[in-house]
Amino acid sequence: MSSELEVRFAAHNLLKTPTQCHHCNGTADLEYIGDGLTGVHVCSGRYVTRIIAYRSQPDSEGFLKFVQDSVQGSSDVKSADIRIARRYGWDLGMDKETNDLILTEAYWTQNYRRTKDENPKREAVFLCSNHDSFFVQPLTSIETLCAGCRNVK
Amino acid sequence: MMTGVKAIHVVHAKWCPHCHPTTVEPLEKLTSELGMAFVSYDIDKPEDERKADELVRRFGDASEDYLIPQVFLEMKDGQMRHALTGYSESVEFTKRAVNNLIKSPYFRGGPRVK
Repeated sequence: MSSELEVRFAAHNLLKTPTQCHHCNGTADLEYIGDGLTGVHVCSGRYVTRIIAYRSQPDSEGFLKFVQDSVQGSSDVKSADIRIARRYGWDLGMDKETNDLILTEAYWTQNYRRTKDENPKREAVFLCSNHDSFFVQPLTSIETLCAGCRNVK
Repeated sequence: MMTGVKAIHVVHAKWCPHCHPTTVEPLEKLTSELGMAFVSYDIDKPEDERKADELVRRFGDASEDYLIPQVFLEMKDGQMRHALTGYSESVEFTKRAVNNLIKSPYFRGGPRVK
């Protein structure tokens, strides 16, 4: 089993890449939140395209609970929405023995195969631009701060 | 070249850019060059889907709606090893992993098993 240091190294150095935002089709950069072992793909409008957990061992149930708490009821997150992938040393281009498991990624993608709802007022989850806090607002809203941060502006 | 790999098994779909031309074609070419078997499981073919689900459930990164592609190495000693799962981050990452698999100890002098 790899150490937390190794998991963090791989997550921050070998798995960091932007992706296409599912909200504005612009760039969604990867930001690390909390202890640095969770990544969030967010666009400049702070819409969350994907959440990724990096762990030395798979924890689908823990991640499912985390995502369910994070989306705050804005979508009905089920176990089928969590997808996992093991990453090995050689797979990541590290100079490691063949069988070395470095980390497991768990992915959740917002609205992946869950809705074709075009209602612009439907709620979605965003990441506050001020701190590591998820918040929910209508999809077309342009607020980038959570309610707590808006109140102290 | 010595290798402990007997066959490469790939779970994929025709419409998946992480699968085609990123994973299936280079690994099929590799097996052809090394004289190994290549076993394809197209999840859109009912007869393949059942076998793919079983392979992923037993050896792969299983979830209700699992990621593709998933690559497995059938070893000469009969073991089946999970080798690669596509990267949701980007097709480029999946491509990098496939290239790394081809360059890995599995295909140059056999696997270095601890």
